[in-house]
Amino acid sequence: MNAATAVGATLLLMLGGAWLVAVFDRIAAALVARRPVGSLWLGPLQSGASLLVSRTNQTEHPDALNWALAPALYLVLAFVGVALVPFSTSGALVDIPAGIVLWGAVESLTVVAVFLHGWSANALFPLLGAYRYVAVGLPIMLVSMFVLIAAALPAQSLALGAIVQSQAGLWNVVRQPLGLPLFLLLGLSLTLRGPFNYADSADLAGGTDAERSGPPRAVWQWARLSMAVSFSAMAATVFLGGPLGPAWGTAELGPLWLTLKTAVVLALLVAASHLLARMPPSRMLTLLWTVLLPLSFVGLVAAGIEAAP
Amino acid sequence: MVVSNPQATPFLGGGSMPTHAWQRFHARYYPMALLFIAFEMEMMFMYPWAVVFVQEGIKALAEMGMFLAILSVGIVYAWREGVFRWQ
Amino acid sequence: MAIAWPWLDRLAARAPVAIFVAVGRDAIERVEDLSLDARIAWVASPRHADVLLVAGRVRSEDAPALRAVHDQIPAPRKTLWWGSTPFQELVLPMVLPLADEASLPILSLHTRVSNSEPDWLPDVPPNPWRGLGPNGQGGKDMMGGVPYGRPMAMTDDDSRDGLQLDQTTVQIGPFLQTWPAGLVLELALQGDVVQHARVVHSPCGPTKGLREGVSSRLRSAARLLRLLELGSLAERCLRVAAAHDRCQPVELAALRAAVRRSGAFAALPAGLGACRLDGAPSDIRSRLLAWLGNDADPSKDATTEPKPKLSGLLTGLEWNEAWLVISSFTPQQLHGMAVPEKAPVKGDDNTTNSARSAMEHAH
Repeated sequence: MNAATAVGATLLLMLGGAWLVAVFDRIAAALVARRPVGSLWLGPLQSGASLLVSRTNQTEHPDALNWALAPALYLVLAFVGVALVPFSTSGALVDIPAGIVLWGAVESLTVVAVFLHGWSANALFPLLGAYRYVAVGLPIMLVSMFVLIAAALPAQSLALGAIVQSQAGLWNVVRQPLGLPLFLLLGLSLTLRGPFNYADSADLAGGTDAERSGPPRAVWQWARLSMAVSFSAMAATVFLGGPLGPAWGTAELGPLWLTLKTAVVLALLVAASHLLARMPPSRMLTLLWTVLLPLSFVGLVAAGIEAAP
Repeated sequence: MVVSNPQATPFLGGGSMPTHAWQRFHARYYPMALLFIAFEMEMMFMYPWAVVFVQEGIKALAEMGMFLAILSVGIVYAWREGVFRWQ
Repeated sequence: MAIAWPWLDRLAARAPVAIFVAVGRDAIERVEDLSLDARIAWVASPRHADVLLVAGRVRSEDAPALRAVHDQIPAPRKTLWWGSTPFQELVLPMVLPLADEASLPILSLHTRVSNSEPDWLPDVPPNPWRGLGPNGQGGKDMMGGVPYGRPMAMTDDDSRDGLQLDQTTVQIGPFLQTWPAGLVLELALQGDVVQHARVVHSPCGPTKGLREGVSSRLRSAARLLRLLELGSLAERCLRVAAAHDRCQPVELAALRAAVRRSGAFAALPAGLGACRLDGAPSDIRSRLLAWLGNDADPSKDATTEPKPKLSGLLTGLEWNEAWLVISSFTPQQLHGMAVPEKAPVKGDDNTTNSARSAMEHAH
């Protein structure tokens, strides 16, 4: 698979995956609200088209460069995340010996992208959204990295390919039960959803998105959905064994298994975002540092005891 | 494309704000961010530790456990000092 | 700038119409029932909207805010006046009585009318430039005169830690989603912490002396749940309330269990918005629980206790908590609590906020 095909396949996965996340969103909203789902398959495309045909807004004195580039940065980070994930046992688009570290960089830069998106508008609601998001986005990164390091212990490597191989006997979701639930919380934070939606929230009239309209807003929403795909692919690789699965004769079914597992994690992510309430930021901060971070320590120690000879 | 002044005004539900939104207000999570940096540096050390853990054995777990415990004292101290409140 | 491909326009025409609602008197329940329609999307920001829906009578003191919100909708924009009187200068406004259904008129307004409405406010910068001297020159450092555009915020003491950092006084207007209709607050903010709050305009309270029935309490619960990012659960509450309004039997226990499972009660800090209401101490958790409960409407006039002041409850709270407290009262309760207050008289306090003085110069 040469580089051009791989890039094209990754972009296709981001587009198709973003559409799938939007479909799951509609199903979840309809299930929770106890109403029939309307226009399930074409609905996301119609909403996206209506965003694309509306006019771009400008604010009084924005930071024009960051105002334009923040959605693009978010999208690029989602692409990097998907590029890291091994599609089959033969490798990923970006096959580096420290894939986990690059994913950590993606997480950190997501905080930067969301902050820039809110700050560059020079308006109150986006600024407050960006400001609150940093407070919660930083500690949840710590939780996720400890969970990922725990997954790297039995693999003796930070490379995602090695982590996949280490799950040949038993998936990490069984071996390290605290891992996937804590990692899902990171997914909620990266995609600005549900209980971690401090940036684009309802009490800020849309938050960082409040002053946006038109194609830049469409790019931002697409980037949010693509980040969900990227995160889910990562979670499927690290906890659900990625491309591992029974093969059909001699056909290499790695990409199919990865896609199915990504869809499972996406469904969990969307369900969590519709079913859990969001706390005020100070309460969430206390919860993160006093409960979730110690839980990730416990998971790490347990993984170490289990992996040590 | 230039938008008119009334359209560019920031949305405040119909209200008004006389100043720019960019202003110097308190990053209320600043002490928490310092604690975060401490843990981030520990994470840096855990990257190579994770790679050599299995060949080093349980002794390596004890060493990293001590590192984590010392930093956890920092969390308890910060909690008691009210760092995690929106101060 | 917008992308203009014909097939994109056809696809976009099938999407739900995004409406921004300016809610006036006695109209919030009609708007909430309208939002349950699948063809309508009630958005939080006018930037995301195609159509402005002015529902219910808007008071004359809220008219400038309505003009401001209308102009913030990007072109092409249309307005539907639902149960309210349009402004005099408008040419052929689309008016509808409040008793009629608004879904089809909104849809036809969006798809068939292609002209965008012009601005309702004059196109002038926020502050006309004015210096100190006779030719508009001069001024001392940043304080003399008013800079073109907007000034920067100046410092003041912060209540939580006493540092002197920038403080700005913001008027948060009447037309926000999940905000009490007609309430205008002036907040002195340091970042996102409210230093002082003042009620500028009280909410347009219910004119018919409605008893707080099951339906209206469920609607209040829906507003609070939406602030907790539980939009779908809020919609479920609204559907149950609408069913109750149509005299169908409703069962609240399942709804209450669903809200409890979502962690809404655990997410609300205990003791937030604590005050004595109707003769008993209550906080935001107990009020939400009362709204989702099945008990009969408690007698509202049992006590002659003075109602707590909203501005006192909001002082020192962070933005999210302040908004939650505001939404934890029913419109009937809020009407007595949010009485308009005069602006504080600037005494011989020499450390007044310079932005406030600059604002006074500008007007």
